[in-house]
Amino acid sequence: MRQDTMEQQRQEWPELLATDLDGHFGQFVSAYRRRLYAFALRQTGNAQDAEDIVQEAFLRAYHALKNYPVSRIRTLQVQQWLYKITLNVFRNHARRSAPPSVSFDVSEDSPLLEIEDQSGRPDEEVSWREWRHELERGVATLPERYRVTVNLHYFEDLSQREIAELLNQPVGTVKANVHRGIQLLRKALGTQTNEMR
Amino acid sequence: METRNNNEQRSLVDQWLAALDDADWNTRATAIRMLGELGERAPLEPLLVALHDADESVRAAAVRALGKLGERVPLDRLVAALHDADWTVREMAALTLGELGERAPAAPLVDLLRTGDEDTAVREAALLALQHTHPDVISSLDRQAAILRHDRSPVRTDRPRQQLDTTAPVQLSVPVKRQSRPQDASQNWQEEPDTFEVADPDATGHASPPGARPGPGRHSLPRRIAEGVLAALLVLGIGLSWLLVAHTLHPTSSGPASQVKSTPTPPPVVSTNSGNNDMSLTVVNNMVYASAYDGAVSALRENNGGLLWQYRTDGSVYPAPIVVNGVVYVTASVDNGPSHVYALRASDGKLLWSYTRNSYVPSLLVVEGVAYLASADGLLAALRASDGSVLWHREIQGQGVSLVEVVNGVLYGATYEKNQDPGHVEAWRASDGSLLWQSRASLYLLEVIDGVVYASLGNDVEALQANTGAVLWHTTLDGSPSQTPLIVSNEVVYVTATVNNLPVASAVPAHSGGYDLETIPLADNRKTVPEKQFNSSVYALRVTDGAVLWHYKGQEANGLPNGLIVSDGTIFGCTQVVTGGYITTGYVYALQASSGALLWSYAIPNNQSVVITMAHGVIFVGSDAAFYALRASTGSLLWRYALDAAVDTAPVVDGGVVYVGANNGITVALEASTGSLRWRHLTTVSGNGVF
Repeated sequence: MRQDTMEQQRQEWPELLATDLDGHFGQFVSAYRRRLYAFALRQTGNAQDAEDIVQEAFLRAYHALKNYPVSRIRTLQVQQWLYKITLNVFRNHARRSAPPSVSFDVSEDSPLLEIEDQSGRPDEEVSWREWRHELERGVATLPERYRVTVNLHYFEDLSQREIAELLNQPVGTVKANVHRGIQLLRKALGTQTNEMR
Repeated sequence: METRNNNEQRSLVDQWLAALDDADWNTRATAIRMLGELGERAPLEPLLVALHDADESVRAAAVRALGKLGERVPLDRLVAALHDADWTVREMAALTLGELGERAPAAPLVDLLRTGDEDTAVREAALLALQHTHPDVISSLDRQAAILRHDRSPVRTDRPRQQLDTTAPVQLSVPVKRQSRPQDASQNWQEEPDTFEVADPDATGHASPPGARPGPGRHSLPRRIAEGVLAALLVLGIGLSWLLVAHTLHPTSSGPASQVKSTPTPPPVVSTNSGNNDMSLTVVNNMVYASAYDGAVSALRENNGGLLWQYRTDGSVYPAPIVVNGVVYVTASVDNGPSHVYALRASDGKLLWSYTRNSYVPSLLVVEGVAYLASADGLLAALRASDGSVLWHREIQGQGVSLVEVVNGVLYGATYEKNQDPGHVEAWRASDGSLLWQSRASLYLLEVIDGVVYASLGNDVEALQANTGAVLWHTTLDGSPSQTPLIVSNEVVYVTATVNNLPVASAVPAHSGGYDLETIPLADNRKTVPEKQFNSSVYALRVTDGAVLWHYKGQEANGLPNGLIVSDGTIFGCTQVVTGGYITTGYVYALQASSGALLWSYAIPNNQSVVITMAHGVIFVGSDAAFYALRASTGSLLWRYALDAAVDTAPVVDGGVVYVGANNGITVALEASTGSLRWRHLTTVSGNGVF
């Protein structure tokens, strides 16, 4: 149901923004800010950097929308488009900055951990959360080319085709990066799992 | 009143012009946009200058403002902006040209499609612009595209929501529903004289790689443009770029140049894969068998790289093909399942049989006419290698199974829990799958060598008697030994030990009586990963009792280990040093096997992957953007071959030639002694139109 509503909103945004950009941009930001922040946080591993990146991404999105012909706004797939802009900002940010130390907010309400809960029973829920935390930490250690693909595919729910369009890569490359990313993740988690015994 | 308004406007314009020098891009972009609002009255020169602004949003705003200048629109500058480095500027240039009607030149927009701008948004914008300005050109392209549409269907994108499946081995399960592929969907291509399989769609009318399958598509282009035309035109752009975009390989300047024996600059290589399509290689009987992540299995002639045949599987093929008795065995997986095991005739790629399991199949062994496989959902099976018939199978409920080796009629493997926790090391009779013994403790299986099973749990290495499972000895290291292969040489066990310094969520009792995660406030107490995320070291253990003979902790080995080789009294290793979430440097190093003393090390900066192989006294090193050959005796650089892709899979050396599979689908054959190029082959069955 929640998914349906989100999808419906996603489809409505282009028309709303095309009709009255200034009137709807605030709501648009509210609708996507948390999600983009989580995405950026998984990419950077640093809350301040993520906040900066999301702020700048929305600014650039606003400028772009202001300059787009209305016909272009109406054809936008807003979510992918926002990720694309955020990724641009992230990469420019990464180019400008020295590799940051990775910090993690693993509090229960952290947007970093916004993955649909698959658990049912309370004990399963605890296990699920523990595993989520491990997984998030693992993702943040992946090399960028794998990190972004795994992040978009598993956490942001983009299809491989959508990721391919977003990253301008063949779908096969995306698929390969997902596999390779998971392999590396498995390696990292396996090592960690061993140590926890 | 009018004068007053004019004065106010002039004042505003002056402010906007002054703001163009502001340090903040947002201010400059806003100023440009406001100047653009003046329309035909906007000053031209500042807008032209802004086209060279360092910030892409400012340049994009300038493009848009220039498009509003009416008769003064500098068309040439807008066309030039179609080639800006940033996609947002190129997109805006195309959209702006689209607003100019017939004045906009069609050719640059058509070129953008034909040469296939790398960015989807730019291609979409070019298409929109053409539709606005030159619909006749669209019709013309449409006819061409209609031909292509039959061969290059849009990529299927329908899939269920991605879910993290806690029951899967990696707990990352993506239930991508795929139609089962009929056997005749495979493609066996005839030999081609050229190593590149590039067809010109303009000339032949079919640019599709054989094996591209039709499927339902989902696209992002406007509804008012007919779906078929859109898909075909996009494919046209992609397809033509596939033909026309050439990447030239330039030798890099990294590494000690004075020691480099330069290799000739290779001619351009055509690759659609800028990223990762790992090629895993097996060289047998004068043939190179290459499996690709994107599903292709290729047979290449060892002497010239000519393609003998190619088979298209229904998944990602990994690891390298197993070639036994004229049959090529590969495993292709779609995420965590289904997985398909294929047996292909080595001479012509004909499918002999296939076996499908609706789960991930991590292990395939082919020994003495039997193919043994194990799956993440508990299957352990033996198939007759000649025809794929099931000889026996076991289903181990609730656990995954992995196989390591078949020795003297005994199959060694291990079970693992759904959450990746270790199950037990087990030995099964290879003839019927009956259980011979099971380890008492939960263990990961590492290797079976010389009648000893080596396993691990946490930081412990355990040696078990292979025929009974009895514990011979165990030794505790300062890290997990599971990262690289365990090697036994001259009565010594060599193994790496790795500590992952990633913060671990601590569990504390919760009110519910169960356990809850300790919460860490957002801003104040962020856990920060230590600068070095992985620490590792190398151990030498006495094979008889596991006693530590030496322990090397030098910085070259202190990272994420990725390989270990023992040869002629020397240990060779490679390590990725991880810093702050970024792998920054790859190290190759050599230690004296008897003492663990460092003999030499070689650093490859800015590197995210490093793999090694040794042959003929040379260490061959695959890395992110180049392939290296180092003298095993000194670590000095023999030669370096530049690649525009990473090498993530182990190179193979055969008959004085080293074969390298890059992750953009290219396989190269290099003279092992000089690094000069013998041949290269591009696996052209890539993602476009396939998955």
